[in-house]
Amino acid sequence: MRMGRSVSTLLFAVVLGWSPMGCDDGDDPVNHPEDQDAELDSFDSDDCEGEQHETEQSEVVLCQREAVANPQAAVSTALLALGTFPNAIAVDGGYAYVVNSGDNAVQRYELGNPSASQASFITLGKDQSPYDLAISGEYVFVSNNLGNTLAVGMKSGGEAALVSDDSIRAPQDVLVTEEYILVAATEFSYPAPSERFGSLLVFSREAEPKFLRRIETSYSNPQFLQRYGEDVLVISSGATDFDLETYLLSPLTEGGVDRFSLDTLLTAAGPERSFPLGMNGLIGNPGRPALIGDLLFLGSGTAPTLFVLDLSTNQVLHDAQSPLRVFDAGSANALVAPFAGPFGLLYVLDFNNDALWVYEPGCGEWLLGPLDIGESEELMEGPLDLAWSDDTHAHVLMSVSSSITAIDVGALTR
Amino acid sequence: MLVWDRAGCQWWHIFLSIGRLACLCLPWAAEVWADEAWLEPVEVDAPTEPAEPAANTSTIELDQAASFGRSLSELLSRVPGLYVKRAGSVLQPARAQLRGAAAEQVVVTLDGVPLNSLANAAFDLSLIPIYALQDAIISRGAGSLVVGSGSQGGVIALRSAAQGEQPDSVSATLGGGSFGHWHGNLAGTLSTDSAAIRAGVGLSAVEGDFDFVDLHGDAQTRQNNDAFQVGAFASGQLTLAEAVALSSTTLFSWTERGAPGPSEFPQRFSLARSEETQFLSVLKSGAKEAIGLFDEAYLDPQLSLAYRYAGSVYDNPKALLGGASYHSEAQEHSLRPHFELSLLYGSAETKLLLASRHEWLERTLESQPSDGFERHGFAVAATQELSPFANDALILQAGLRMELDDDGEIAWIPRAELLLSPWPTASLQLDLGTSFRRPAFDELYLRSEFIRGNPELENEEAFRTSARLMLRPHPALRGDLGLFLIDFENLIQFVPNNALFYQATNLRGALSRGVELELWTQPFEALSATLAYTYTLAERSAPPHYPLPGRPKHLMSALIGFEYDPLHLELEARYVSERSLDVFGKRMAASAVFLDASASVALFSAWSVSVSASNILDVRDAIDALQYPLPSRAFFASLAFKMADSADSSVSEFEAIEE
Repeated sequence: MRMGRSVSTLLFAVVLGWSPMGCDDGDDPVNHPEDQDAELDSFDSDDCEGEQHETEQSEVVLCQREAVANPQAAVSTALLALGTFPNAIAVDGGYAYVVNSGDNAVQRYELGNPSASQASFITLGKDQSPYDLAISGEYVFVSNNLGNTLAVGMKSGGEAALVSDDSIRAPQDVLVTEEYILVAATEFSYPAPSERFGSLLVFSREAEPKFLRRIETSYSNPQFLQRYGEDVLVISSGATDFDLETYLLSPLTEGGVDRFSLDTLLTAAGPERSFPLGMNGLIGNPGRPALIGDLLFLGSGTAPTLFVLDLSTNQVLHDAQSPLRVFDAGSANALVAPFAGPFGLLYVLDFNNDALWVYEPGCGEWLLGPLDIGESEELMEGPLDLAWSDDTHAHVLMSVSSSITAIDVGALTR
Repeated sequence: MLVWDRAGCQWWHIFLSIGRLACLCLPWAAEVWADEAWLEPVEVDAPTEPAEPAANTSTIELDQAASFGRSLSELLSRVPGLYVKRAGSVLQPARAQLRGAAAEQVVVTLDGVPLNSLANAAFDLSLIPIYALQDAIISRGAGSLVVGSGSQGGVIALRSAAQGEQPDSVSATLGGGSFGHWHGNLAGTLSTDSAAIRAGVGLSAVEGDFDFVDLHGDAQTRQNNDAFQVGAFASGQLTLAEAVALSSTTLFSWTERGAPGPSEFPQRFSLARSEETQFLSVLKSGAKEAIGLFDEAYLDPQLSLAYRYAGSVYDNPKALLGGASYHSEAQEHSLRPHFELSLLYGSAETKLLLASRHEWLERTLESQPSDGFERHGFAVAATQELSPFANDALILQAGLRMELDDDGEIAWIPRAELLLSPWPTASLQLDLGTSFRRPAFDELYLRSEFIRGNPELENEEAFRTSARLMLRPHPALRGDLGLFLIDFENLIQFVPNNALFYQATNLRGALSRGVELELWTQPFEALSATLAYTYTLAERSAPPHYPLPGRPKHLMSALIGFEYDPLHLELEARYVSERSLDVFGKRMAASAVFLDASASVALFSAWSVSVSASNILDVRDAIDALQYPLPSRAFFASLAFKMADSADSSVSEFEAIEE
């Protein structure tokens, strides 16, 4: 475990294009986690824009935070049991909502009293395999990966209504804006398509959403969506190649990010801008996004690395050729997922090792990691998603062990 | 080279879509060989029993089960320490666990030949037609010297209806019941002084469209749960020159059934089907009577050769994303020559066993070229039994088995047993030993997109010990109290290796310990009652000591029988406590009480009518595996005919209704 304050990080912050002092006072989450999927109207990173690129190459950047002596004490495992194949979690109004893919249901539990849990709070119908959810107002929108439907449920629970359209094929992420419900349709099928596949689907934002249009993405396999001001970012992972001899998954086509303006979403021929992220050996397959200011961090489904984009300058800072490495996995695959969190820090889940890493973008230093967040000494539990129960407490969805690990991130660093 | 998208952990979505193989096929593994006569008396034509150790067995009669529409798994569940995990209704997969050991750690034999899959080490009890069986002997205790690898939990020895001397007879049963369940079988025996032949054939079918309550509390009907099974058995016995006995047994079954999958995905599995074929043939020869050597010394040689074939096909036309199909096939073969020599002198007995096996597996998975695996093995075992007192007040038995595989690896099974009977009304049995299990072919070599074998696996090891106090204070009252402990090391399980696939892995281990209690009383000649209770605590060795899945802490059954010619009544209640459904102990199956009843009455001289009801309380939310509901209340009625040669005084014409 690496701990301690960094005092001489050079150039790294310049590469990141990030001010050492940032636009954050160090006490509040840079980007409140609830924004990531569920929030409609709070995106306040604009204040930072003017400070983003003033760093000089010779500047010595000091980290604002350091790891505490015993961060393990901040981890509480097995907070509660989830359903079958939990895949996504979101927090809203004192409750956490968990998508249990194998149960075709959304489970709800009280943040203040996790034992008050309802496993089948929202039911989605048979053969759906829900993947992700977004909460807006009184509604809960769920993408159904096998059912090829968009489910509209109520926060008060009950049976969800299903929206069908031929364009909805193997959907994953869902995002709600002021006007639209956006769905990343991977359009994946077996055997894998030989041509580019995947699209952004646009639905009207209403109780009975109407399909408005399908926009092809520049890269195959769009899996994640991220709101950025008046734009939406579509993260496509690219196709992958699984080798049955080595059991390694490697990128087959490059992934990338498409940037769409919400204002022209219904008329635009394609994305306003695209960011190819390349592939390099096992490095590729960009995944879950985390936004800190104008910096977009993307996880990877194949390697222990992050991709980084500066959205204010439309620059790719770390692509597959020069990734931001989280740890060394040797010749093995890894799956890492970043989350923006309190104190302007980036919290990265390591699926295969049940670990958490903490990164301070301001100084470009890994403050902490690997921090064990699993309960079992010998079985992999697979941390996959994270939601913030309050300003400093994270609920981590352990997808293999079907449980929640709670972390007081305020007690990880100081 | 496959092109496959699994980013964002989509692997389990795809995994789910191919047939939930992990749920049904992961508890596997074992290769074994056996001979039921290993510790038997010298008469080679006597009914053979795999009594090992002799003091710790239970016997379940099965010859009338077909009349009541009962399954093998239901009847085995009466045995203390034994729990059968069922995937659904009649003719759907069912696997036996014993003393906290998984199905792949329990060897099931038929007429001495192991049936456990070479691919996955477990055996599906539904694949053997119950009308082809006579009884089952369940052996618990220290590592089996007869069976060898894979018997950490014990041995379930099935004896076919073809075994043993039987009078000339012809019998038939025809019945039907709930959920489109119907059954018919026909059997006959013909014998002369020096030869006998017995054969039978049967058909079973079920629609399986029972009602259940799903995990959301909604009423549902199980779909694609039908099954059809045809079975046949034949045996022949021949005595040559009044000295040499030859016998042959052949059994065949073919089961075609729906594979309904998890109840939350009925459409995804609506067309999924499987076919399972079992074929077994055993040829045995030996001296009709033990050969006298000198004084009180006798020699009894026996030689057998067994061949077993098992084929399985799984097909789901719309298993995968986008509706693509998934198809797999496997064929297993095993050939087992076996030689056994018993030497009796006075009160001591020495046995020597030599066995060999050649087994091979051919497998085809979707989108992959066929794979083939084979291995050979050789085993030698010896036991020595001493009974220093004339009244058998003390019996000591010790033995050692060595197995040599073609990879040069040698594995040992030592065992010791003591049976102390100071009074006729009380005895104490102690046993101690170790056992092991070689990895099954799938655990070593399977290569699918989601599940991967591991050629580096080491053998599972187990230390076992148990004690049993047997009290017989009165002819109408008996009670057994047992304690057991099994300490597993290098436990082999398929567990998630990373975000991409499961892999067979040697885990640290597990500890299973518990108590078995059985009380039997017969206060009146017509009335009997049996109460059985088992407490099992089976947990992983590694913190936080998750419970092993599917092992209820408490199992209780009560069986009341009333028999007054020509009427036979039976009432059975079973309680199963809460048990974990996953390896992390996070999701639990609720405790449940099941109530069954049956009755039969003899009509005229050769006819009988039977009726039965199972799950009378109509429990509709019971499961043994996630989203695999168990059937609701069901009824069954049958008409049976049996005409036996009345010249044989040992067989009643009413045998059909007697247990």
